[in-house]
Amino acid sequence: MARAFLSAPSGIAATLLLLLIIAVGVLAPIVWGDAAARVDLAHATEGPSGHFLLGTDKLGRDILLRTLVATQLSLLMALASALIGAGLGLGFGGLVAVLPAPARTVGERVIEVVLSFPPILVAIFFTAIVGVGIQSAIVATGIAFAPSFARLANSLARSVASKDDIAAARAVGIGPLRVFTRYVLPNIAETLIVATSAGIAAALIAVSALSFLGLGVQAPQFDWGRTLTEGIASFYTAPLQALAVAFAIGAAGLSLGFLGEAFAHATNPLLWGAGRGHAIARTVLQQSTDPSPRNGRPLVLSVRDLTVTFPRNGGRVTPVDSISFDMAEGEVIGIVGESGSGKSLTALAISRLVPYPGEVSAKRLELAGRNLLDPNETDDRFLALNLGMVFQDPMSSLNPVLTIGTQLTEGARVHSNLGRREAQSRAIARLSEVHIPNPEQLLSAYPFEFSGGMRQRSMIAMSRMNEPRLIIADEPTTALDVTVQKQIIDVLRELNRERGTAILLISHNIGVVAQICSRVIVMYAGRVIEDVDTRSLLRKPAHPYTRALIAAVPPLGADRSVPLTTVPGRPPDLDAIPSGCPFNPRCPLVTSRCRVESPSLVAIGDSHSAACWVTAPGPSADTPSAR
Amino acid sequence: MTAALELRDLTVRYGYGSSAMTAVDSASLTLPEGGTVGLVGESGSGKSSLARAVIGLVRAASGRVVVAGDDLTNPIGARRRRLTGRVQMVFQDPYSSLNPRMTVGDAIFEAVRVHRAIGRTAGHAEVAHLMNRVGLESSAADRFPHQFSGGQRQRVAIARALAARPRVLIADEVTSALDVSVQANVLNLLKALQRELSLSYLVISHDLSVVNFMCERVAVMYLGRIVEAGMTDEVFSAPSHPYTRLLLDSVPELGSEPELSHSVAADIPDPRRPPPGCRFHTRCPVGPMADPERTRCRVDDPGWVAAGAERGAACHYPLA
Repeated sequence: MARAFLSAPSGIAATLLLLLIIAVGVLAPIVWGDAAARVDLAHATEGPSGHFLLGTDKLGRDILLRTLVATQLSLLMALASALIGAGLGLGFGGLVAVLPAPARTVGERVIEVVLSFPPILVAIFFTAIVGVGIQSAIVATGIAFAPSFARLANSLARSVASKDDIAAARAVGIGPLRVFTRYVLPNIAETLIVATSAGIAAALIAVSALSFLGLGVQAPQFDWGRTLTEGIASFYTAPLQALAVAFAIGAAGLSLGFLGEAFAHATNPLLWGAGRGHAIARTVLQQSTDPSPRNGRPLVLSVRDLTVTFPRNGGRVTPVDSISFDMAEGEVIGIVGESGSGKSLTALAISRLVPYPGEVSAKRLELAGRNLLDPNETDDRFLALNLGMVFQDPMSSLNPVLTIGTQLTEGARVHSNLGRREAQSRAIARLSEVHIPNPEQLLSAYPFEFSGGMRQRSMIAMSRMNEPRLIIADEPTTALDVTVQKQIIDVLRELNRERGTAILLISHNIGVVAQICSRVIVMYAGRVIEDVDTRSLLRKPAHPYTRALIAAVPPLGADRSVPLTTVPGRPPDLDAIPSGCPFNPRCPLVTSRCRVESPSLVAIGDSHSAACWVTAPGPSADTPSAR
Repeated sequence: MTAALELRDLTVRYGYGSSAMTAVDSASLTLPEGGTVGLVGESGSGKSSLARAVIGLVRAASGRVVVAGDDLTNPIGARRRRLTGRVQMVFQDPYSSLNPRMTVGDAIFEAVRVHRAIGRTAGHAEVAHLMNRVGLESSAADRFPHQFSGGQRQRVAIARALAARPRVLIADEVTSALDVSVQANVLNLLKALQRELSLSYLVISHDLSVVNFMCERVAVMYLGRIVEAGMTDEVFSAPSHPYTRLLLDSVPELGSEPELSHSVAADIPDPRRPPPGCRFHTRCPVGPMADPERTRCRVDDPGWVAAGAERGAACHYPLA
């Protein structure tokens, strides 16, 4: 943890700066305490000189020494008031979080009301009541900052308390105190430490402000705020005094802020060694055209050697590795694979949504005959009109604060140039296609008013708004109940049958895919390992991985005394894909060739090809066909 | 013979005032010693609330939770320790059910020392033993959960549950967050553990094929009620309740030629406001929506009709 703390650059800088400030705070009053208080009217209001580095104030006291000596009192006051604020706030906020519901609501409202007063006003108000002075400034600032800590502790504790790991710990039989110290606190500590650290910085400003206003430290004692008051009076003649103090307050505040951040980093093992996330999504397109002729069928989608790479640990990984397939108009194709197989990234590459810093390249990537790799040939509008997308989680892919009607009509109004009324009647038509009852009324409903199934059907209606030729549905039924899953499958099949929309269905569930797709593409470690019509998939799957996937699903009526067929091991990490066939370490049929040479997709029947040296050897390369 | 776990008219309520909701409504269930009962139903049917009430995570408003003859409803203090020593639970999501700030070894050790006074050395040995038992290398004990795959984390969660040496294990959707090939491994592991440790399982799943594979008995829940129960083979091959039929028909079966149903069945109603009469009548394919004569479904709440010692359903017009 200490190493993680220091590995953050802000951690080193903040630690050094803060250590310096603390050292000054401890030593300055001992070494220079007397010198800083010495009045020397002979040298009053002097500029910087060799003797007084920053000059003197109007009583002839050394400004530099006074600023340094004031550090101790300022820091101690800030620390004390932040601790009072954090103690009061965290105690009250935490207590409120564990109260039964009605009392909790009252407590939370109280916190919110108190929170609406600016802390500095509250502090001034309290010093007005209890009188001026060091102690009262500390207490007043502490009380002023308590509500924000209370609010923080309350919301943190509540968000953590509903988590599964807390429930799991309680289910194991761990007592409430230990659950609090071992499960709740570590998971909120990070934020609390940052907040307390930032709180000390804020308290420093607040106590300085109180002293500046004459409500805190009284002469002859002095802290930064008090020194600032003295400096401000002569700011136009001798600005250095005010500036020196301002610099000290700024430096202390900054180092405390960085320190909090570094602490947070060090207490969170999830962040160790992790890179920073990227906010900008950018797709780098590398075009290289392949003039190979197409067969006569009109294709809605044509993919040749589609590859997606991402930089990782200095090198590059290839989550999608040279995959090729064609999709005719009105065809329904499924892509099946486990997590990490590259199936979703394939969908994202087709819809140009691969996040930065991924790179997409292909010999050909055409939607409705136009090159997707060339943004001039296929602009966003072309994509919007020809491609619809349905994602896994309808709750997170719909905007919760816009009505269903607004979300459905938006795209159509922009891309199909429809008027408000036309767009609405089209939305109603699309919603009734997916069997949403009373679509006229439901246009003004919000997503949360819909059930999970209705939300996903609305997503399908939305993807259909511009009547695209192709809909890509990425895990559209995952996390839905079987009854709802059946609705979604039925809706998709109906759309295909009655509207002729081509559907590319991506799913980990081979059962779902087999229900609706005429052809299935099986992916493993970024490659297509089998491309097969659904009937052959069920009758004679060729690739051992496809066979394993099918065998791993226990059919209803399976003999429960026989263990399920399993595949040993797990899918390879992207940065350690085995040489040869990527499935070879897990394959029951592995041969020595599989470990060295990577098999390519070979036709083994009408509309059936597989990439396997054993089950789909194909025509041998070194002996030309005998016929 | 006493049952490993028996629920008598268990009721769970959430909220207060106008947002009150009965998540589990008088559910009764018997889990025989060494047996496995599956609990199926859509989300919102109350399966997980029932499990949480058994383990004492939510309060039972009424009814009894009886563990091996011992009434342990709403346990506190010593009774709570007695309950968690006998009944343990594995949660759905192995990503969120482990404390991300604790090594997996510590997580398992925590569970060991709650139930036994044990020293550091003996504790380490016990943790290693538990990890081996679920097919994990004991050398991985000092790693954090995020360094494991989903299937491995679920094994950690199982090891932690076994640390209490329970007699009953509740598996709440333990494989629904996992890939199929990993799911098969975890299911096989659970079966092997049941044999070796003679555990009794309550398996909660929305996946009927998982329940069929794991459980010789099954109970079907709908909007807080158990609407059908019996031996899995009988219930799944000849369901009495139309809801069971609907669930079975919804399972995508490999190789079956699916027929397109033109009436899209409505979704499960809001559990806070269950329909009057039979709760399923708004979606029932043989109820008043299909046959207007069957008006009593809208009004009368069907009672439990036993068909033999183990079998029963709550329906006015049970299927043949």
